Amino acid sequence: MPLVLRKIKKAKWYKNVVVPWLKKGELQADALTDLKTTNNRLSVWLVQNDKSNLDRIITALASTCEYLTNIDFALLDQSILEQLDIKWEKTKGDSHDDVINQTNHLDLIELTATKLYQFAHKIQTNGTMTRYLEKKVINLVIEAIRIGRIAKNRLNEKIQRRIRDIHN
Amino acid sequence: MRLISEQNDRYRVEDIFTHTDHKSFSKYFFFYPNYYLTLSKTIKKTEPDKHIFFSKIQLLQEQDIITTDENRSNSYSTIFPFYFTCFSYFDNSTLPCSIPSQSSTIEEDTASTENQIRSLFEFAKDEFFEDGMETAFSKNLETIILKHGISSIVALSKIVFDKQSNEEIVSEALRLLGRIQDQNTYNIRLWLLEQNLKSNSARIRDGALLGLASLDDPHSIPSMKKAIQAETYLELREDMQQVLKQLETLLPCH
Repeated sequence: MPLVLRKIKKAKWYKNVVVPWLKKGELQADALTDLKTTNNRLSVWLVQNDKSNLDRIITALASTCEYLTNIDFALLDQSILEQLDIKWEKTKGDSHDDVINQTNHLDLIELTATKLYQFAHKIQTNGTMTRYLEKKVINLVIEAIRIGRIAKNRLNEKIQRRIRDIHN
Repeated sequence: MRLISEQNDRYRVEDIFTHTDHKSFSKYFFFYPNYYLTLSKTIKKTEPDKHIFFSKIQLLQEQDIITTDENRSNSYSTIFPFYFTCFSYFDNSTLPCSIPSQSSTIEEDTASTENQIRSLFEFAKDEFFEDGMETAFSKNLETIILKHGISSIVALSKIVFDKQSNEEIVSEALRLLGRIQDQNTYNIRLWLLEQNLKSNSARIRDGALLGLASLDDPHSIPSMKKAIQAETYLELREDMQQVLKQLETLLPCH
């Protein structure tokens, strides 16, 4: 079963161990801001269960940024969507990797506030949260440009400048 | 801040605050390229986190180095104007002498910059911070730092160390400190980030960690190692270890 990936900020998902006012099993409300819906839809990416396309998806996510930095993300088994009765449909992603946009992007649809909370709760209890540091992200983007997966001129000017500086 | 002990009771200038209990400076020596400066005034004991900025010391030239003694304690201020200015913000009781007049401009600039930064923090409460995306907060704070230099970081430090400050915004500010390209404030930014690895707030520790990851400076390895030892939250400790690994690849032996 593939995995569902959502870009997050790890610190918003810290548990009660380091958030003294938080009760055990509870989520910080800020975590929900990582699951910002539009028209009751939530954009997620599909990762193969062996994670063989994970780097490519992270690169695609980084390509839409205004500057290169770390990428935190949560991975969750896609079967969770069924468990939570969350509907989804394949839609085109908005990264600068056109292949990934076509093949690996989903919208979770018809989301209610309850389902969104349940999804968030599953991320915290069943998901894995990972961080790719800025340096790794930069290297991935540079490599994606080198092999022609991402066109450099589509990237934000600040990122292009950063990459130029690294090459110089 | 480095941790290398030179000889029995001599420490590199960067070490002193991690080695001393701040009871007295008189027993310690500041080491700067081959010169030792003895500080003679005794100061009161301060909490371990009451640190002093030494960002200017790297700019000292050989002719600036003078030896001080009890009768010439004001000489410190000539050498370390920022030392006195910054220190006064955190704990006036520890000042070994009065703030010298030449640092009043710095102090005024810091106070004015602090107001500007406090306003930014206020407005930022309505902003949404997403990794990799600019915000008005980050753009404006960067502009202030590039314009006002070290005094802006001093001002920012006051806000960062204020327990009433919004943790999320402090964390964002720290992350920005790692991204700014500005040699003038580099050392003090590095210092502030290292200090915040010891913050009581895990969110702020994480912001400092990401700032240090961006700076990518192996000089922060000792601080990182200490932070890892002290970190009780497994997830954050693993993130710190990841950054440490990145920094260690920059060491010459690799």
